[in-house]
Amino acid sequence: MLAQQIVNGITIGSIYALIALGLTMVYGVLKILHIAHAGVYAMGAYLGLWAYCMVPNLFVAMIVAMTLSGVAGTLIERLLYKSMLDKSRIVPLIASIGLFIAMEEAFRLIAGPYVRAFPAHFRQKPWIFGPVRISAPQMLVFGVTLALLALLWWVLTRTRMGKALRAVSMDREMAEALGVATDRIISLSFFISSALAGAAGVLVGIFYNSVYPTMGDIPAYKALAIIVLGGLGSIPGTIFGAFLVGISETFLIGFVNIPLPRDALAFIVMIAVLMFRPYGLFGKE
Amino acid sequence: MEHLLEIDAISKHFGGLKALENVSFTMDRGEILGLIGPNGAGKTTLFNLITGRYPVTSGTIRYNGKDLSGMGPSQVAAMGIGRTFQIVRPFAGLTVITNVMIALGVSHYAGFWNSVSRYRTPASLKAARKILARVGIAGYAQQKSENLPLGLKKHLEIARALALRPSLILLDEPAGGLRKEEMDRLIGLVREINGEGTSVLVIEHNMPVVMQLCKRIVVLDHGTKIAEGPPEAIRNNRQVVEAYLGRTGDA
Repeated sequence: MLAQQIVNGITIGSIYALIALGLTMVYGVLKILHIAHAGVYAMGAYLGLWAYCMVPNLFVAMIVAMTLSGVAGTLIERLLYKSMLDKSRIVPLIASIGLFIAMEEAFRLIAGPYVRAFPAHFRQKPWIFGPVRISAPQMLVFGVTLALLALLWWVLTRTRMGKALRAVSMDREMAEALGVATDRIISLSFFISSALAGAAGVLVGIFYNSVYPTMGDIPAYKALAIIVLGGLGSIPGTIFGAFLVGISETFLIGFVNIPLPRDALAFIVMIAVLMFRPYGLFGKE
Repeated sequence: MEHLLEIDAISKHFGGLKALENVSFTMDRGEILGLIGPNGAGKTTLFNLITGRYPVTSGTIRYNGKDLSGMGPSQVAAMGIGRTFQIVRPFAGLTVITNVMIALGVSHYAGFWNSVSRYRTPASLKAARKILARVGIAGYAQQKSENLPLGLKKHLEIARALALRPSLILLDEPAGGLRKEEMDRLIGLVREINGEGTSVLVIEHNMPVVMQLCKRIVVLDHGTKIAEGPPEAIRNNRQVVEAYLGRTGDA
């Protein structure tokens, strides 16, 4: 039972990590809270579903959803945020919330207000290790998130782009003076983070077998809670926060009978962290 | 022969504030030119205009005969103009050598495949080590940059600027906050770099440093150029003395 709960918690946590990482990267380079990120996530789920209905191949669906979500994210940065960066930080925040609501309404108009099933079928039998059962969709979630997290880690720590991204997050003016083409680096970081969100959308759609217009609501604020918990802009902090929240939620449902909805937990933890470490678990003072 | 840098009648207004008004001067290849003036004279603003941080309100800046208007900071850097800032700001958390390697990537950030290629190649490590050795901090390559003492941080700033393979570097108060020995080392370094063919435009408040480094000085006050010439002439220029010390009674 305990081991099973941990496995379930890690599954949820890795999905949270995919969503929250993009948010933290965007916060890192532009210092804005990109609420519409959750809209990109829901869009990714719809795109994956659409692609899967055209070509019933999960790999193709994933690639299509990630590429188009990435393009959508880059367009959001270019068309919406770019003109607002010299304004007060509340301006891009409100624009972002507005865009998020508009996206949800667009999904409702285009795809209908109802929950759509994700018709992915798995022939693969669940893996059973003693008391632990790992279903095929769970394996998919693990496989894809681990691969994407490893790829992201490689890009961020080993490539020129990763170093440049870190430089831009730390000191944009200095990075520019050293020849880093910041515009391009920012667009690229939006592309990567939106592609990750799109992948998360597809995975959630498959895992819960449902895709619906407002599926981004809860991830929108939970990802926010996670990045605050981990320390805004900190990538290890975000991954840690995502797994912490994922696992504690599963435990809360599995063992403790607390009369609170599970989604409240992330916020209780966030409030507790803000009281004692306002800069987050991995953030700097 | 055309000049390395031509500042031609530039003005910069921020709303109603005239930060710079009709300033012109030129700089030749191989020169160390001093830029001095009281606080608020517009010296750092001028640096920000040259490096493309702000657009000019009017006038043109030409570098190697090419008009720089419309270029952003990263494009200007890629053309070979390096700069340091008044307050040293290494990328904290990164090692000294990584700090230099970020600036070494200048030709690589353009394309997608280039920017996702590995940054730590034998060639880039070698180039970065060479630059660190050049400024005398090779022994600190693996240290976290924020742990260097101020004097060496300034050397690191110069190392990063050199990583752009610049033909011109702009130094904003390089000697500020340094002790005498640190200052002497820095002056020596700037001279050596200049001797190797890099021109230097330097803002400096410390007059002995300016007098030692520069053969020619431009003086700004309230956004206008009030004097230009060799150090001795500047020292005895009445307008310059008044700008610094205030007007004495016309007796």
